[in-house]
Amino acid sequence: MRRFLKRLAMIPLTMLIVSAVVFICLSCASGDSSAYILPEDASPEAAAAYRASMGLDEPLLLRYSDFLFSFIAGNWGLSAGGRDIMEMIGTRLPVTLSVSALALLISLCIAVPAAYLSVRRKSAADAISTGAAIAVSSMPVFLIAMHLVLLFAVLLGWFPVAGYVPLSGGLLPHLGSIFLPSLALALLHSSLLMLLFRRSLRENLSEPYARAAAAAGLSRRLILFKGATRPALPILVMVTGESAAAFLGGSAAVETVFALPGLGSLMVAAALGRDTALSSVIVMLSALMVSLVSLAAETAADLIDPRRRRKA
Amino acid sequence: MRKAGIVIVASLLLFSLIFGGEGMIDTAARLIPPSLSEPFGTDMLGRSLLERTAGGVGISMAAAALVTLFSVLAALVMSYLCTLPRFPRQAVLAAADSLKAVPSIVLALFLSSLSGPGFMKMVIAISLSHISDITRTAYSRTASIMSEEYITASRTVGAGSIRIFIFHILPGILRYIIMQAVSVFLSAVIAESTLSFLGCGIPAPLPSLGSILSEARPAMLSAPWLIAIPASVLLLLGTGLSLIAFSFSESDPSSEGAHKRKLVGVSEISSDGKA
Repeated sequence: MRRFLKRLAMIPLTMLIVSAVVFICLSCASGDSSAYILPEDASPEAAAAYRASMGLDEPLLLRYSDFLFSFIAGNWGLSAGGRDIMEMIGTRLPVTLSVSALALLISLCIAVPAAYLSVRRKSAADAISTGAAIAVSSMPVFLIAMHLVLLFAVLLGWFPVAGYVPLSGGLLPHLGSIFLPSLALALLHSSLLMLLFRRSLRENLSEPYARAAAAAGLSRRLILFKGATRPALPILVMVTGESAAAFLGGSAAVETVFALPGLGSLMVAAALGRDTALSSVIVMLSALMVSLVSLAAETAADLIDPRRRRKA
Repeated sequence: MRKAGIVIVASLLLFSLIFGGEGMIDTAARLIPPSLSEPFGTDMLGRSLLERTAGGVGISMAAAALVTLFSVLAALVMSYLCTLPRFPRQAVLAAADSLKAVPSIVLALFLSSLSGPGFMKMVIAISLSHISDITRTAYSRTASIMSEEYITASRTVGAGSIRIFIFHILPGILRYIIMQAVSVFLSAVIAESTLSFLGCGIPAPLPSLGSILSEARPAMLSAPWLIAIPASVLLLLGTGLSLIAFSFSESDPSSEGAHKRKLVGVSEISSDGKA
């Protein structure tokens, strides 16, 4: 319980550091917008008046606290194109979340059975799954996505090539539009997941309790599923938690390939359009989301494996 | 496995050095499929895909090498700082962890939004996202060496921190730094290609596997070689690097597993009843 609170307290600290870094970058880079807004022959008094009205002459710390508090309050302002940032993020967040959630589900469905099937060393299944895992995990997400598009959308025609259908357009079309992007993210994550989960299973199988169980006559399958699995579960949870960051970054690429209106593509648009207001909000939101997911993952891992709790 | 990986990566490096280039725009020769004069074909601006692909490999590896260099330097600095007696390890670890909260791609996109995409911005963003892991590994390896008796002995005899670092710590952590460097290199190659694909990595006329693929997307059906060839090269590069990285993690038992096995060995002997 205490560890949970300690981890929870880390999140505001993390956000403070991230927001400080973001703010420093913002102030260093944009300099002073007065150079852009004011006409060239403006008098020094007019320039000073403009700065005062925009609050640009305030001391740095004051501007930072303004920045921080308006972020916390949800007062995110307008993007460079004039649209309300909170509204934009509000409509795009569910897209990214649903793709990520489906990706998580698919990756578990792929990685866990693959790990169990290939647990025995030097088997054919071992070679195939290890080879596949290495090949897939060495590909950037957008490459996986493009291969999927070529195979399933263009050649086979099972899924749409691009575009997003919200739930209101029907469950099947919605799932059809997010399946390939989720599969791309899932393949990336599941290769790592399978390798680490399987390594943990193998380590557990060489523990004395597993050998004792085999000597006592328990079937190999029973030992695997009941004995070796439980200690390996925390790894599953932890790796998934750490992949949250990768999912967010990967969704930028995947949403671009599949033209999905999600947070990732919004971030790309902000980057290309030099929209600092929008991009700084997204960066801080990402940090917050990743921190929350990490917290959830570590707490779940602690709940599953009591030994982690004792290991102060 | 490691040798295979090294062979692949080395031959790709050679390939990029021999054939690499930006490719001359030649609008008369647009979208030519692979042929004798143009082994990889040309893209929609008539540039030789062979030159661009090779150049892209070289540039990606150069960017990744820079990231790896920064990471290794950071690892060495962090390791040295860890040897200093009153260093606030926990605080620095916590700060590094908070940097991990922002994905490298998101960070790079943010830096691009400030004043345009750029090579160094991308390198910095990718390096920063690895700092947390590097610091953690450097600290844990250094700490385990610091607790050895010969360190205390050295200090007693009067060795300063720098001497201890160079002669005692470095040899111990070198292996782990190399392992991490390979993994960082692979991760940097992937991150760079993704950023270039999104348009925020290597700037325009310079080729990068990611940007070549991004340009080739509209012509996916009419000019499949434009995607197939760079994609295969990228896959090859990634696989070669993965093989090297993976060979390290398989051959060297992870510290946790070895530690457990050591403990288990002791209890086994005593429970035997024989010794």
